[in-house]
Amino acid sequence: MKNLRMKSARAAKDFSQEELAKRCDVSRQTISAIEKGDYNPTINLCVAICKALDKTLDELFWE
Amino acid sequence: MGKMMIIVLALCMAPVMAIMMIGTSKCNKGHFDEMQERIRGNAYKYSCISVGCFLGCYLLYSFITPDTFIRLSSEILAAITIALGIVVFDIYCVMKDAYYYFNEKTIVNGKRMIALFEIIFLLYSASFSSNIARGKELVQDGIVMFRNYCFTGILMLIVLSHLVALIAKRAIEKKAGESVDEKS
Repeated sequence: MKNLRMKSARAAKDFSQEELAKRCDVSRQTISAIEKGDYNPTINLCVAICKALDKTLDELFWE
Repeated sequence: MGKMMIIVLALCMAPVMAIMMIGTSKCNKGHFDEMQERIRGNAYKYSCISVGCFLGCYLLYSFITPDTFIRLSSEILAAITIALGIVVFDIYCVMKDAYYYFNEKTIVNGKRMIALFEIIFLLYSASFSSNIARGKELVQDGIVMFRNYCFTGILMLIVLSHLVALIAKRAIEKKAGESVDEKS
């Protein structure tokens, strides 16, 4: 399932996938796969993404 | 004399290897991210499965046709098995962007990498063709023997598979129109 909340949070911060990937120390493909719903990130990466986007885990990843 | 030569060669190689290892450890600043690690784990799995399937098929085929079957010598069977595993791993990782470190400085799927592999492939193919002209017959008493050109040939095929995978990946990315700086 697509993670549209993460995509919109990223767009709100005006980050590109590349920029968010750099902040989280992962590849752009990983961010793209998470947004498409092709990859389930580990809790560590979820936390890193939340910190980069100033959001909580609930706001981005809770169904 | 032969053993002495090998020992001398090993002693000469050891400092060179040590220098190279120190150099590469300082150069390599990149690492794989968690998705790449997972993909690489899958690639190991698939390469192991394909090696198992190949050996199983070979075993079955040798049982079914014991008289007419041209057997492979143990050396060439081992070489083909290892090469098959490497090729499967290589192709899977390249196609899923998990072969190179994500934060490596080199242009991974770029023209430079393809050109580099093209040069390596040409060198191997030149060496292979010169070796095959001077080499002995491949099949001896119904057994495919391991000759020195087999080794070059297998290396050539590994490099070729990597090159083809890189070109295919590049073509797929171009077709998909994937922009690096995708915002929405």
